[in-house]
Amino acid sequence: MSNLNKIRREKYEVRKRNFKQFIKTFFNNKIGTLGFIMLMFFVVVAYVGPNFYHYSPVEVSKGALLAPPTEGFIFGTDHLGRDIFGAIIYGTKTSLIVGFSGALISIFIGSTIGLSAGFVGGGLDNVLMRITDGMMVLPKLALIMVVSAVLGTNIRNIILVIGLTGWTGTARLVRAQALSLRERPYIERARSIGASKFYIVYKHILPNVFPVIFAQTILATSSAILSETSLSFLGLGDPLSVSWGQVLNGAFVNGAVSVGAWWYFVPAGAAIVLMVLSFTFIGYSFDEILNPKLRGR
Amino acid sequence: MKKLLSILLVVTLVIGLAACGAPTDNNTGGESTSEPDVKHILNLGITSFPTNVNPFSQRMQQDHDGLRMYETLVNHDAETLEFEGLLADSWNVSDDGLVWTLKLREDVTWQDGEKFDAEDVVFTYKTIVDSKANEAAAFTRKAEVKYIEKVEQTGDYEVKLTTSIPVANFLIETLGVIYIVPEHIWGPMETQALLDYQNEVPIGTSPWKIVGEFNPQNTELEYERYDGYYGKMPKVDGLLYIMFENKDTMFQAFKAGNIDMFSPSGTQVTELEGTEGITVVKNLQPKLTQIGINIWDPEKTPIEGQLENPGNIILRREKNVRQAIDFALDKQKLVDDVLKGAGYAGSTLVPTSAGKWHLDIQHDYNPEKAIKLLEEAGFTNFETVEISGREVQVRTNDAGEKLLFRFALLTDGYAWHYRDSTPYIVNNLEAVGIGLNIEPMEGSMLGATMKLDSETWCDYDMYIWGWTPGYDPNYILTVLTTEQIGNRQEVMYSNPEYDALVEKQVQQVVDEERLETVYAAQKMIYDEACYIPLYYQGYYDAYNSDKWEGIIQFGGDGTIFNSDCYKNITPK
Amino acid sequence: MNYKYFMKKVVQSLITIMIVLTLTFILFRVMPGDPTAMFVKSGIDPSVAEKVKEDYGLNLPIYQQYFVYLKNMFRGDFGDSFSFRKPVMKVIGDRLPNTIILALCAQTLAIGFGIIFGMMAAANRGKKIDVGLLGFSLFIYAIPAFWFGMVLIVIFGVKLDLVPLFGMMTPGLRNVTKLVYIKDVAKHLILPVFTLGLAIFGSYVMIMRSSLLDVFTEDYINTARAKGFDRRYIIRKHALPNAMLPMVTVIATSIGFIVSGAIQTETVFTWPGIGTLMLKALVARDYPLLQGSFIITSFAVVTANFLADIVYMYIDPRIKYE
Repeated sequence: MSNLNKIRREKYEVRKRNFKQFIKTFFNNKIGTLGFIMLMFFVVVAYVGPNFYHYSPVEVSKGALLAPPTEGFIFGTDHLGRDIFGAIIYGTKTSLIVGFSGALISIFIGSTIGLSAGFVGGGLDNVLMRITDGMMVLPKLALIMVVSAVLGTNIRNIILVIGLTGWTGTARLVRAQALSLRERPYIERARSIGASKFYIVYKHILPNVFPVIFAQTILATSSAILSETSLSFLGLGDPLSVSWGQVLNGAFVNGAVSVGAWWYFVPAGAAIVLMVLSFTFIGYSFDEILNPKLRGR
Repeated sequence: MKKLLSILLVVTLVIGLAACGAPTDNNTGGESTSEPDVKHILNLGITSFPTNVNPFSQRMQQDHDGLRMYETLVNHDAETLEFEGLLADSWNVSDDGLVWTLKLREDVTWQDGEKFDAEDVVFTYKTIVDSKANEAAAFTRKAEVKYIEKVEQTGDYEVKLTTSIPVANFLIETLGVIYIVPEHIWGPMETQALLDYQNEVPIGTSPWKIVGEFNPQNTELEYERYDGYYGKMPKVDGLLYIMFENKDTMFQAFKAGNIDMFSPSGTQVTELEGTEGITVVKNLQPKLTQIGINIWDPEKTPIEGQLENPGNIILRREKNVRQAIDFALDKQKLVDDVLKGAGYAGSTLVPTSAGKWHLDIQHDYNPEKAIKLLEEAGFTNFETVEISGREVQVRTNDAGEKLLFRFALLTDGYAWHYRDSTPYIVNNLEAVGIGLNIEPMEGSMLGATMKLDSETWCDYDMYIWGWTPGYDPNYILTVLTTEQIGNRQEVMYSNPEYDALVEKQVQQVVDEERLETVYAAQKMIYDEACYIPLYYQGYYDAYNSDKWEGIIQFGGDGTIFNSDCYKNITPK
Repeated sequence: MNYKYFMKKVVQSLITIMIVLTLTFILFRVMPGDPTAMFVKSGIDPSVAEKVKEDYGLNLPIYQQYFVYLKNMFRGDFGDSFSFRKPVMKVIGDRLPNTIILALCAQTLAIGFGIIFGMMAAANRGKKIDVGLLGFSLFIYAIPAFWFGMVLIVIFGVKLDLVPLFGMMTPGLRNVTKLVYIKDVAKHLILPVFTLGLAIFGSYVMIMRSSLLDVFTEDYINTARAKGFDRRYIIRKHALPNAMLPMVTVIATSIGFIVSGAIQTETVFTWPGIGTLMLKALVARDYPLLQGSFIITSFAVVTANFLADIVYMYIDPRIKYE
């Protein structure tokens, strides 16, 4: 009994050490660190900002209509006289929530399909991969638009749509990983001593595929954020939610571009770029750490 | 590698060259007009292109831009709003108001050179009237000939129309809207063929003749002046409608001088004002935007098989709450901010620009009164609820009923001002303790919800939507009749007294008598407060006054996009 | 020519097309409201509605509807567009060239500069130029294309007044020579091409860079290096041809996506292509048109992937034909 405990403790120690090693490598990477700092900044803005700065999407004509930045409104006002700076602060949370939730759903679907296809193989693999191919070739943004029109437009549905449509890349990647793992000797061994498929997936495959899934989640988050932005921009988002995409849609629909009202869309766009960039940076450095081929070259 | 680089260089150069060339030949649009014989073409910017130029089956508002070649029998004069003859020289109605005798003009030729006569008019009217019995024949103007019983030719240039009851708005709703088509082209066709006919080269009688063929996929539609026209000859050589995907692109084209007339958005008006050589006018037409409140009463008007209780019981029961909603709204603010000043605050069913038919009750923005009404109805307590992440105080009564309603918001592209108005409405109502949960939905979805046979049968509390009822009050008044439940009715109002008034006014041929009935009907709806007119929205029109003069606004304050204006406009 | 490999790819592509057709069928049957509303616009006269229902087999049980649908698809009958009152194929066909012009120009620039910059980064791995290019590519990936387009419009169109802002040609332009017309379109192309090109350029740089780096680790490169060949010579003669292999796949795939990928760019610049058409169809609830564009664009992608596989077979000597 104590022996088993010891093994467990050792295993735990190894994982802890590996994790520490990973963190250290990660923060040695300048790009990754920069991405992390940027992300933390957005998290703070999203969850602490609203306590210090008041904004409500129904508080119209607080300032002049479509006025350039002034003292009270550092990012100016929109076409209904609402504070754009406030919308950016409050929209941060929406983007983070949509990004993470959308990514989690798509990663969950993608990994499930990828694992089943890669590990079970055979007919199931063929069926699942052909469906994935089919999903992949459908025009993605148009697909998101149609599905969101079916479900109706509110934040919850947008998350669902992004999740339901964005899993194909993950499925392929996870499948490839699972395929290569399946042939490893220790899995063969586990199978030969009669371990159940579920046990093998849970105990051996999943932990090994996990880093890939994790890195993929980061990238999926940024693409979910961009999807929400595009969706809202094309006028298919939830009209009364506060999000950066909504701000951009307001700017586009109300002709801010043609009258040169740059303050209406430059801050929101810049915020999107920075947030997506933070995820891309983190994802990129994960890739460098986790991809053995790239390491130490 | 070198090959690749050189290809890139070429591509970049080509695009770059074009870029450098840009400022020098910025006036490409003007090149064609600098030829020796100058043609004056009026370029009109539009944002939706006609889809169907068959007058029998056309349904969309924008189709009328593609039907400029056709004419009606009579016409609303743009300046006086009185009726003048077009294809009809004169007309008179019998004393009982049932028989209309029309004398037609004898000097009219179709644009293909054929003579126009009574046969064309009889053919057009008879085709639609005869289709009344045939459910399957979907002629657009079926409703307009509802009361016509007989169409007779009484001479080469005389036609007699007999109606079953006196029709008060026969000129504006029937004679003024039905386009006359040439019998020699349409006559040989079967009923279904008449409706399906693509009509690629429409032949009409107006001064405007189509250039080339009509194709709904084009973005430009050109007319040239038809020199065989019988009436006042237009001063321009042609009209060119140019379609733009949105107002932004149209705005730029206007600034670049590519188009002469367009309707700018409120934001663009601010930009244009004060620019020399450009005139911006308010374009006020009878249009209505309202908040509707579902007051369906299953006990009063039960529908078979529908047992549940849709809508919100408080809204149906408490007239006070409905009236409080009206008083709580700062409608003038909506006009100022959302419509950028183009429009009037709403109060009664018939819009202001419909002239005398509008019952002029001034809207009273009075939150105190709203609160008083709510308190009288027993809603004196408060409860905090969460509405899309915000904490809102809503009123409750002793029974625990909450003033928290669903509000359907259209998301269709044309609904921009509904969308912009919504935060104002939410703000105003929250101020008196009424909470709104916004439910964004498509027009088709909302429309389906208002149908009695749909799955979501009547299941909504409030909505924002609108009408473009035209200058005659009949259309908008009929919307709230019992007959229209399940069709155009949106609030499920049913009142036999109101139905009787609407039925009565449409048969009152004497305007003064009709006016009284129309007022009484409007007052009834106003008091019921189930249909809360928010505003009568207008637009802006802008034109290049450096190049053009002789602009006529329809009805004095309406659109400049009207046929009298096109006939009168003159190059400077 | 390996027949077996070829046939395998053909069969796979056909299966993918079947799945696309099936997914589209399911997608468009769950649209809100009455399924007939998809093909019959509300308010249409009942006899016409009945006829359309019959033509599309909408009165049949769902599995039979599926077969009618497949039959129509394979005959190339996509139905009539509600809003244009014309066959869907014709409506799409009229718009397709506009999208292809835009996308081809953007792709050419993106591929060319992508390869050049990718090579520069890989050749200077770890140096400032590499880090700079890498950061730049990641940055570009993060920019929403439509927003970038808006910024370009304000700078170059509104403020500097250098280029036209919207559309494909100057409105009302008529009776002009071909040359004037081409120049006019070229001017209108500049900003959209730049926007769309930049949006895809970043990923080309990244892929080119990493596939070159992959090749650099191969033995034959080390051998060449050991033999004392010039570094530039090695890159050009040995590394580049091999590193182009993964690029072929990526380029083929994205050429397939050009048809649908330009939705945002087309919207911002109101370019009259497939992207704006799709958005219009969605807004107008023109289901036949929407369904048609879905299938056409998916078909384009499948075809491009198939071609990529075939090309790959020819140029990659290492491929195993199982």
